[in-house]
Amino acid sequence: MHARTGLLAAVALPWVVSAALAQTAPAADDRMDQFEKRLNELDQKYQSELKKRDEEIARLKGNLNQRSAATTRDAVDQTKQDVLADIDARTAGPFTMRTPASFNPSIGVVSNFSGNISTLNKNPARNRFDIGSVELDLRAPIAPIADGVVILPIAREVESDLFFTDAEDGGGGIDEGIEIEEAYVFLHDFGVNNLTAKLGRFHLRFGRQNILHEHNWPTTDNNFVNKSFLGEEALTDSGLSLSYVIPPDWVGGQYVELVGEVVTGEGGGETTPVLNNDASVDSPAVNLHALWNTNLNDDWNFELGGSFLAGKHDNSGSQDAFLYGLDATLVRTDPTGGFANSMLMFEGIYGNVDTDDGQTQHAKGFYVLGQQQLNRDWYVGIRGDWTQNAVDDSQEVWAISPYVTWYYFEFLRFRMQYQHKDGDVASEDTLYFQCTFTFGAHPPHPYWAMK
Amino acid sequence: MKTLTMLILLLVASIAPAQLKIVTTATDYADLARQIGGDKVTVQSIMRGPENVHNVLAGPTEMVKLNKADLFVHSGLDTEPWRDNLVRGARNAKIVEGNPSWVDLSVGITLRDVATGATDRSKGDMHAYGDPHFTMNLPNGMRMVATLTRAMAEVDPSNADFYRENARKLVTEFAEMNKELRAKLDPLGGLKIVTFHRAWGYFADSMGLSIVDTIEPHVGITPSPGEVVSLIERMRAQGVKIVVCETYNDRKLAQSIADKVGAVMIVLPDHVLGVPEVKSYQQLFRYNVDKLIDAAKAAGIEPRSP
Repeated sequence: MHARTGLLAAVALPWVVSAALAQTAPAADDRMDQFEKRLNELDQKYQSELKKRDEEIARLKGNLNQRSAATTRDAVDQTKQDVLADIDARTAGPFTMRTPASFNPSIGVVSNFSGNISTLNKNPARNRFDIGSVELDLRAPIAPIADGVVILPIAREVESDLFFTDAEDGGGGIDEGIEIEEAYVFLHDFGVNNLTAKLGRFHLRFGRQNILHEHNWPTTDNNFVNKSFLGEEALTDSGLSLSYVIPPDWVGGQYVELVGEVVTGEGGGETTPVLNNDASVDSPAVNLHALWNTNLNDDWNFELGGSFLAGKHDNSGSQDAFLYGLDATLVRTDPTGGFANSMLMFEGIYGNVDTDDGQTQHAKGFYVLGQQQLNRDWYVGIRGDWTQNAVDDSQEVWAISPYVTWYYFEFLRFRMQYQHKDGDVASEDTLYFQCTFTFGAHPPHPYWAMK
Repeated sequence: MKTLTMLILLLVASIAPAQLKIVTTATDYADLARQIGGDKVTVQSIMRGPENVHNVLAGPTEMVKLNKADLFVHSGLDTEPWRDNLVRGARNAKIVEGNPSWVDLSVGITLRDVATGATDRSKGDMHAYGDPHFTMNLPNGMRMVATLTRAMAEVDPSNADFYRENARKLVTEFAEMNKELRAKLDPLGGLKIVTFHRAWGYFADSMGLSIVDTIEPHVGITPSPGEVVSLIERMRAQGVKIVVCETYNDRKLAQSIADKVGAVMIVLPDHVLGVPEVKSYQQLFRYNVDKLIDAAKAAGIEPRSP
């Protein structure tokens, strides 16, 4: 039974398979056709959508261009409206600041209006008010390694003789004119560490106050010892000044500066009593200055300086002049951050100066100045002077000068000073008044000016 | 053996990387430099903290600090009029303007009150470039950190990554702190204050304060009695209850004005170390905000409901 069934199956199988295959081939072809048709439909659909998108992109691009044009038109319209409004406006429009690159120097103008009321009416420099000086201060970098400085005071004053005794001593004429007080190139970087130089005309680094311009003095008049030995306002001269700061590491972190100056020896001419020859190159003067500055503690700063000047006193170059100076300054900074700063200053000079009578004058003198800042605007101080005449050591003069200073602000200052003067001169009591006003750029004061 | 140890120590010391020497004008910059530079830097400030940044008595001993400086960090503008004397006396060609070691922290700061048109001193001791008190503002602090970090990285590239990493942390901290402090002051709803000097504009901007007036009628000028009376009237009209006096200005005058209008006077530092408690840039802001909140409470100013 099983054998017969198996034979039957073997005979039937090929027939069944071939029949089945005959039926399957047409079905697959149909499906392939349907699949192909479907693909074509999808392709057409996507092509259609892509076409629509391209059209949409093109439309949007068009809109964008139209909008940009419209925006530009709006901006132009807005500008037109603004300009039309400006034309009709009665007030000025906002200022547009332009800052071009400028090669002009910083320019400052410092004016000193001063006067005095004195018991010594016969002195022509007393009981008068005048604009003592107008100082033009010009500064600018002139090279990567150098700055230029020019100070041109225009004076209008009556010269005051320190050793005035009677009317014949003072000329009484008004001294007017413009002078070159300083004009130098300051070389701050020429390849030698810690060395700087000035070349031109400048204030000599003798002592402390000689480097100051008149409006920077703490008092209305110059101290007597500087007047007697250096000059009415300051000892200036032409030449070369070198300044070297010893590397702080070598001197325990201290500030030690050495200054050496070679100048013509002319000084300021008639206004400088000791150094006043004819500026021949065969009679130069040499000035040396050394200073040490240190912080005694957080609040107290101390500076000690020594100066030596050697030059000629006359045109022939036969009269020698030697000056020795010592200066000390103590500054206390208000630790609270307020303005109660204090200063005590001393300067003394001793001179050996040959004079026309064949004598050598051994004169000396000094001043002491104490100043207390009360608040941001007010300062009080007192100066005591005693000095001999540098070219006549038989004469001496002394004075006591309390003063008060009020800054309305940095650029407008008023000062009153009383002075009692006596000695081998006509005794006098004088009340000084000073108004200093500044406009334009102005370089910073030295730190000990406390401003 | 001792000699050998000493020699080794000396040798180690000599080959140890040198620290970057930074000198700053203001204490704020010194603190930022320390926070960015950590042990890779030594930092000295010319200012001590309580004084007016415009009136520092900087002399030769400060020039000594600058003589060997690798970086000189300052406010730029005309903030520190004493800066030029200092740089000229320092004899250090590296720190002259234009060199990488001359670091002007006003770079990138948007200044307030920039003068337009012709200017003169009839407006007082005004600043030619605009308000220079930009340090009192944390977003400005972030900008200062970036400027300082760039300079430190340029001069000391071996530690640049270290500086940048610290700077990123600082900037993130400043941003968070600004939000936090502002949130503390916001309930006081634009707290109205009068200040002595025009030094608080940037602080007010970032903290939502309203500076109604200043005791100085013009920058750097002490008011006349008539101007004080006029100020008192304006304060009454505006309902100002707090007077801020900087550490260096006239406290007696500020107190007398506050007394006349029933206001509270507080002394606030505008620089790090302005008061001993404020030892860092972050503490400067926290201290001032806390003092303002205390003063508002003492003046009877009620916080708004959120």
